[in-house]
Amino acid sequence: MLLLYCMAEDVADAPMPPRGVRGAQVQATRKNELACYFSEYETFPGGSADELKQDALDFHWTVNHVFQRQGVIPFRFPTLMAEGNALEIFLEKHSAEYLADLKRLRDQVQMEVRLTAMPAEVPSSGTGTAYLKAKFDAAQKVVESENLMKSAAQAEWKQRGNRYFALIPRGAVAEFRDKMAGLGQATMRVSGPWPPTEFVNCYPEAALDQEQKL
Amino acid sequence: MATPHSVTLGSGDEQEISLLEILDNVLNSGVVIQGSIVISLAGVDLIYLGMSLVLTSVETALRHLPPELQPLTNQRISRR
Repeated sequence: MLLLYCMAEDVADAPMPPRGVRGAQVQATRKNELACYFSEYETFPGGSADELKQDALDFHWTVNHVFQRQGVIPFRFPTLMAEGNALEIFLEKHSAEYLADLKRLRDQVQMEVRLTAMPAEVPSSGTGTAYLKAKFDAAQKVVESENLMKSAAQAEWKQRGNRYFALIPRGAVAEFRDKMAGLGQATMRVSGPWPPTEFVNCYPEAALDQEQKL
Repeated sequence: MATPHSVTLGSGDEQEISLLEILDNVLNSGVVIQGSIVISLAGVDLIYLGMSLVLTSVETALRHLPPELQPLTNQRISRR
């Protein structure tokens, strides 16, 4: 059984992670300029919640080893495939779509900003109206921060709830953080750089065959 | 390129990326391939994809289903 890590453009000096989840050797299969990284197991190495947590961390560092040097499209952990032939078929069918995304996002990384309202300053002896007003003001500051954030950083933005994803050049991470640092109207937690998963166009519904869906 | 890390701005609290953020990222980001039968592994629901034997998390897989397939798929999913 194969545990899939990520896909990347097949380049000559591609970095190979020294080990994968549970210390397994990391291998790569190549198809049409696309490299897919995976580890092979006799059976899926299940275990306790703590072991799976460690597996998820190992998975992250394995993908990150490749991501340090080049753009990647990670698989969600844990994505398992029965055997190499299934992976070959999958890549044969869909390598062009993933490769197009990888080339488009080659020098881009994803930053994440989580915006949350600062605690509303509600007078202890205040009225209900004052309480609602304080809550409203706090929410307004989140909206203002969102607008400031988007105007401060030249980036393509996507949003999911209070999570904002910015697609920026690989070399602009420090600059992005600096720009965010001056926008203190709400609590902002900035993390990254991450692989630009929110900006990948090739999603599974496009990659699945009808018979697989049913 | 630096490894991912996070910072809560305004607090001066810059730190290595947290465990929670890493787990959130690997469990909720990336290529998802959904299937038809749910299995459970250490309390985490996973999906077994019939044709090509691919597993992924249920919640994230369902989120990516096209609307016309949502009712059909939900009917077909059975928990072990």
